[in-house]
Amino acid sequence: MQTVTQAQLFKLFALHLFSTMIAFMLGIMMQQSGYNGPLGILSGALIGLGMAFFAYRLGMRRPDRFFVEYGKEIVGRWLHTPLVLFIAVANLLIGMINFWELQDFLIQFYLVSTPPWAIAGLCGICIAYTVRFGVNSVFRAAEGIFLFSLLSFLLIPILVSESFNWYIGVGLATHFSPREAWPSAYYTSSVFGEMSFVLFIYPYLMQPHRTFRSMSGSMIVAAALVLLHIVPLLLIFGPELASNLNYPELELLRFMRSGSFLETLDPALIALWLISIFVKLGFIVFIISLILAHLLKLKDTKPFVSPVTAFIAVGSLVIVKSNIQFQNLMTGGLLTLFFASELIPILYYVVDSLQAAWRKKRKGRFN
Amino acid sequence: MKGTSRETQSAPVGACPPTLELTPRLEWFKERLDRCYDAVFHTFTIGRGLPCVLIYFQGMFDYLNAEEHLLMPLLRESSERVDEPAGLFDEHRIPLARTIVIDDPDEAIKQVMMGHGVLLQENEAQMLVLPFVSYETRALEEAPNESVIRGPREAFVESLDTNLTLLRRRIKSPLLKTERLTFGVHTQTSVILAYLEGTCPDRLIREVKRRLANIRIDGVLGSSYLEEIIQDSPYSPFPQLQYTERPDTVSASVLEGRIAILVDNTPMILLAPVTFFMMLQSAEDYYQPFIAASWIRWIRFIFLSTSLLLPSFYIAITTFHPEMIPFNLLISISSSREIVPFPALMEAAMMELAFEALREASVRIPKSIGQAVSIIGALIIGTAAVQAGIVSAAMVIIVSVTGIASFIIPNFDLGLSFRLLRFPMMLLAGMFGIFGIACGIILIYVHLVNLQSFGTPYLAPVTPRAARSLKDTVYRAPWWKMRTLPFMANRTNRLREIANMRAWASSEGADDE
Amino acid sequence: MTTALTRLFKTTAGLLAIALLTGCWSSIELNNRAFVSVMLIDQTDKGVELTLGFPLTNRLIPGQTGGSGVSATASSAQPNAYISRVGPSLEDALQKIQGDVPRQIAFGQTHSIIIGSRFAERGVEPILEFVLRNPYLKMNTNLFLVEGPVRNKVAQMSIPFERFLASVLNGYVSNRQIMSTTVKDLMYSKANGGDGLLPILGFIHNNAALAPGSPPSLTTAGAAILRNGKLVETRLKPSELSSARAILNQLKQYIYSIDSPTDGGKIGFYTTSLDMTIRPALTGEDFKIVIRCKLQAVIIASDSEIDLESKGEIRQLEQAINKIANEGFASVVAKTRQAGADVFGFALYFSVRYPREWNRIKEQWRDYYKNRLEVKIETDAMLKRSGSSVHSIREKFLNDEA
Repeated sequence: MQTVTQAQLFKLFALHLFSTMIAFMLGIMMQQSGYNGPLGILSGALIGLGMAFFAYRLGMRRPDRFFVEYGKEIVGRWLHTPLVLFIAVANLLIGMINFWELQDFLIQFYLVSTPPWAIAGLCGICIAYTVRFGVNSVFRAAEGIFLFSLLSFLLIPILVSESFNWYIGVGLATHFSPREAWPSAYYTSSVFGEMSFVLFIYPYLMQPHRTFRSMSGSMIVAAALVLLHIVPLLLIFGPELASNLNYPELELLRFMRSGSFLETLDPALIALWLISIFVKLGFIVFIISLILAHLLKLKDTKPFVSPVTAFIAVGSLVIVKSNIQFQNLMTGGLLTLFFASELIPILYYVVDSLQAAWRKKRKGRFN
Repeated sequence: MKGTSRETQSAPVGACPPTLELTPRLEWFKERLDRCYDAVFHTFTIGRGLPCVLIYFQGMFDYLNAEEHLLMPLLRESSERVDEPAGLFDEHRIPLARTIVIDDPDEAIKQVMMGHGVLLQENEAQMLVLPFVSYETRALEEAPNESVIRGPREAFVESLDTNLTLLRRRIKSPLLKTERLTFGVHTQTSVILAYLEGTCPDRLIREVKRRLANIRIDGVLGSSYLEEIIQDSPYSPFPQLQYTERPDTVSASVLEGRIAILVDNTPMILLAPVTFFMMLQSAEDYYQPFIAASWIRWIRFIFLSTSLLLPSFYIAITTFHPEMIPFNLLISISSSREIVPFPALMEAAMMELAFEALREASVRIPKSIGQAVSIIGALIIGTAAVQAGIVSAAMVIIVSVTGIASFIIPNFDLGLSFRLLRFPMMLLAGMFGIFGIACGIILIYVHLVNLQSFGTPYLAPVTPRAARSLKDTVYRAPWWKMRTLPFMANRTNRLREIANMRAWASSEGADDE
Repeated sequence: MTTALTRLFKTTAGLLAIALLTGCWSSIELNNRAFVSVMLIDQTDKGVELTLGFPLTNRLIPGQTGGSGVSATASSAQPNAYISRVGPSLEDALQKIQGDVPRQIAFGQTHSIIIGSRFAERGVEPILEFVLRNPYLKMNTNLFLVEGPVRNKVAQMSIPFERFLASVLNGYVSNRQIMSTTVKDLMYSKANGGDGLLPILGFIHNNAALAPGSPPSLTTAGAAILRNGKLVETRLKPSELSSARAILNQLKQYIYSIDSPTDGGKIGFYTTSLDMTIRPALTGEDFKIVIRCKLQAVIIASDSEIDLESKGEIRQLEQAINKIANEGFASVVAKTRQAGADVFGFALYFSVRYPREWNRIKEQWRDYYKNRLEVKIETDAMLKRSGSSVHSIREKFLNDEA
């Protein structure tokens, strides 16, 4: 059962965290926080790691059992099943949102007349194919892609560095305002908090006691990479211009003057990012399939993968019809929903600790 | 251990008469080998009228040796000791080594079919098998498809014994075990499993035998028959067993803990398990200096991806993302494509198909016309097509580079797989641009990640990561650095060489002159 | 076994059929696109005149290109087309042009936009909006200005060195011969948004190889000032433009000559490196901007008897350079202040460094810039080498004949 190494876990989580953040979320962070974007991201990352810490502790108590199975021992079946379903639904929504963002991005810039269902279908096929071979497939895919993805993300700030106006960096210090940073922190922590879903895959992990080290490593790498992208945004565009752009990362890419070799490397880099985003979506689909499989007492997740992927693909097509609706959706309560789903393991942890203390007291009384 | 293959059809004639007389038995043999022109029944008498018969196939049995070393002494001896019945089947009487005594007539037929001679004697139920074959085999030549510049040039031939000898001469260890199995009802092909005990993991040996155990087939003519049956995923386009004609490759693999499957009548030896990166290695890498070898490996990686992706990238960039191309290059490409009436995808597909046809045809062309046709094909088809305005010059260049790139891959099967996969990639690129290429890469990558060859993940040691084995994958570490065997060998026996073989360099030694 | 194979075959065939039936949606054949290499925008009495310059690849087919004569008047041989239309707005004109062109207009290769002065006087915001919203136009598209009507001058000029105008302009920018103003530069901050310097493209007859009646070729000729997106009267001469480019850190190599402090002879210099640092400062309530220039120069000619081996004389020379540079910078800044346009982007520095104080005055920034800002300029020149020889030829080798 224990087939996933800690190194693979580290790589998967790192990809999971930075891929969609850099690709899709930098624009909103600039709009909401301006100079305090970096601060917000750092604090959000730490908060997210904190949330994941409780999941780690809870998982360490029973590292060889699946959470979906033993959860009902902690809070009772009638509470456990709805809570776990809530997490599954939250993951479905995360999947749909990311799918939609991906589709919208591609259609807007590269595949202008392609119908959305074609893109959703192709993405769905790739993701379903990745996940149906089981947990090993997802983690091994992440392991192989990690180095290339990391290098490509690192390449970008280096290639645009000649357009930096370094003085703007002073603004990071002079505009320090935690209040302005809070919206980004909230956003970031809901993304980094997705690490708490490691709770579901504990039995697959080798050396489970080192999980927190891997998670911290992922957080550091992901946060560093996001910072390495948001700071160049500030240095090149300045906060006022950057907050006006829908896809600042893309504009950043187009600023690269890579000499006469390739005018704009952006399609090639987008392709590499795509693969990282697929890995993230693969992990999400796997978690949902795992939850459903264990709720229905099945051993194998394979039969659920295709339906879940199809659901996410189709759902992404109908969930919002336009960009404006999407913005409304995101600034509404959706983030809080994700936050809540990531806080659920903390609830279990607290209840479990209380129960353990109570049991110890009862045992003590009988002695 | 001899594997036996049961006769699935009953003999057309009845069983051999259970008599000790020679004549009925001889009749039975003659009926079985009826209308076989090359079956020889050499009857002779030894002693005082004791008839014997030697049954063999002319052309396969080493009759001269048998005659000189068995028959003549027998006849001479028996003429001297007339009264004693000649006990041929006493152990010490036969001046030949390796004779076998059997008593099953069906077994005798099988032995005769293998080219051995069978000696029957009157009043003796047992039969003597003389396993001495002599037939024409190919002389040792250089491997036509795997030539090296600096290494040995011997290659396997069709004779199993010769092949085994070639292997034994290189691995002179009693730990090299060679187990024999037989397959094919009518062909009775011998197959030998060769492995190094202690280095090769037991589970691998067991697995190979388990997969081979189910085979009941009318004939095995080459190693690929076995290959397709024992592969992990028969529907995968990627090869899961490696084949080679070079004894040094086989020896190196066996030393690293892999199993070699030698099949009679074919010079292709199967090696199991195999990973993707092993198929990108050639024997040449180990005979060249490690820096050059590492550089060549990187070239192979680059051109591997080129052979898969170059036409797709061309299609994707020109139809979906022309802003990626620098202005001057764009003008050149665009001008050269002005007179071409086809869309990029169709043009690429046409050229690729033409190239495939050329490649296939050139394999079968008689040698005398072969040279001319290849030049004709390249120059005329390419140049004429460009001038006629059917394809653009850029496309010809791309197709040629791709073709050359696909020949850089040392393993032909893997090159074939990538050639095949190029077409779906072009289709995806034509429909979705670079995004389609990304999805295609993901699908291929996930397929490779999940492929296994006899329990070994196909993309090991990259994923799952086995760091120590990376030194022979991404680059070739010098011999004095390759301390451990790669990951597929037995875990308890990992060290292959001592720690510091270059200790002489740091010690004060020969320089004190 | 066979059922699995047949199933696989059927699904693949089905997918393939769907794929081939629906066709490729977004792929546009390379030769079905018309790439815009340069955009020309002008204002006429009837509306906005948009001219798009296309390279004509059908005239460049290898093996078939003809008419490569020196005389470029035969427009049928030129591989360029400038399609021009007038409409009430930029987008309307664009739509009309698309109706004229049999291929899909593609903006992905557009790096330069040339604006006519009449259009610029009414404001360049439509262009900025267009570039910003178009997914294919990049924000580092260069902007240029041409005085008077743009279309005919640009479309019919002669281009001796390159095949296309876009290559000429790209060459100017990449070799740093011209001031480089991109769309992004005009949009840094609301306080000075739309303030910038537009390089002016001029036309002169400087190619002696051409026949007398030939059209002129391109040259770089000073700059114009944009204030709030609109062109103002003031123009910068080419020499003032060099100082302006220096302040914007775009000038790296420059050749000039000064009078020697000792005896007035001309000494020529070549600046090998020039670094500008602009720093905001706040003294009490008043903003001050400090512009520091560090430059290194090499002497390339000397017509004076100055002793280039004495430290004192070198120091004097450096002081002379400092004085001239300071004067140059000050006069350029003064000119822009007079026009009331913060073209150098000082607003950004203040907003970064002193946010609170900045918030108080940012609404009236231009006025502040015009009247109240204190500007301090310092130059520090260093003479690195005196070229390959020590004394001037005149001094060493020529005799002073009365």
